[in-house]
Amino acid sequence: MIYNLYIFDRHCVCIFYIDWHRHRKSGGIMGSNNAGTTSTTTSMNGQPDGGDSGGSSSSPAHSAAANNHLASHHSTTSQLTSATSMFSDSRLVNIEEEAKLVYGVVRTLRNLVNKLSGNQDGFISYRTSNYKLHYYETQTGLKFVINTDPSTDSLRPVLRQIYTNFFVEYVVKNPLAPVGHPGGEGVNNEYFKAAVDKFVKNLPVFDS
Amino acid sequence: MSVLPAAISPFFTALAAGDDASSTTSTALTAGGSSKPILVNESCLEFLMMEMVDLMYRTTADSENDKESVYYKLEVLGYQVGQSLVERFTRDRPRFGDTLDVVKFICKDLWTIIFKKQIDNLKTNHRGVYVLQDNNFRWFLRMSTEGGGAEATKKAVPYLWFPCGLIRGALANLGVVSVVIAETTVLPQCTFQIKIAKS
Repeated sequence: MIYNLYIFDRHCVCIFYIDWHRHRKSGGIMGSNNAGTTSTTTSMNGQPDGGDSGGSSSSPAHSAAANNHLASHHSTTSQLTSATSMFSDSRLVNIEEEAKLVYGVVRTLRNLVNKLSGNQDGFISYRTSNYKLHYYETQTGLKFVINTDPSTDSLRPVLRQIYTNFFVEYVVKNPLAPVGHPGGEGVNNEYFKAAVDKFVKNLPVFDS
Repeated sequence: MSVLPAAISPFFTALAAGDDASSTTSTALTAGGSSKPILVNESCLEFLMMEMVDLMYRTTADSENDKESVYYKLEVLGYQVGQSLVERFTRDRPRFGDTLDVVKFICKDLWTIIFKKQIDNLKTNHRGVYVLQDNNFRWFLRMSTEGGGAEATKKAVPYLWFPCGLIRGALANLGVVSVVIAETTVLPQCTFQIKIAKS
């Protein structure tokens, strides 16, 4: 079961985020206490005061979230800062903060592993009792992070495919996406989002 | 064989000669015509074309008619490239019968050379107006924005100005003076309208 996907660029900015089966994991909370809402799937820009173009309408991934049996409302607001993610300790953190946390974890682990393992890409994934995080970094500093349930095999080839088949095709080769995507601009376009969504949903591990 | 004057024409020549494979970007053709075709990486050309429009916007000073001057620059650029292309690719062909043959050459051969496909639909009113329709315009295949179709369509228009100039230049060098206008309603479809000047 695949939970969500982040893409960070080499300037430590989260340029793309999409989620699927995102719900509370702890304590079997079914529909009660929806103080938190599922995070909207939008891209992020570097400014902390919420996206303007980034916070636009819900994406195709939201219709996928509808088949999530837990009745969590997804927020339809367009302000990024009001979207919250859910942590089991009921501390509501918004999506930007969450992305920064993820980036921090990933970067620290990567530096640590690289120091230990020498010159090649050391850090591939890590696993906790609740989830498994898979990581793929390109030569240009793009970082692809995907979270799945703990029993999934390595999704590194999947991440690599997302990069070569979708990111390069629909973002890098998109004339309307500025080169270098300052602040994540141009990454969250229609074709890329739709292609990644369709691809991930067709993976065998998606629903398992 | 002399080296082609325009900088962009060799890219198209190489594309016509072989498919995309990464190879040398040397532009000199050896004499005698016995050399292997020189191949150019297709991604290089695509990125160059993408950057061309951005470059025109960047290097045009913000004045009241900057959109006009971007249009003018791109169109004239296309005009010159079109002239050179036609010079090169009508070398071995028999003479054209009339204007319709010239337009058909553009729809089939020239479009195949540049975009690897033919024009999908050609309409004419037999009084000097031709409408060329391409249902899967190559440069539009990857264009999309966050806001979806309408916004992307609006932003895609500058990318049509260079092909306009291409068509006009090609026609001009074959003896047909014209005005070419392009428009797009739904990506990746686009239409070029050619109006032949009455002589």
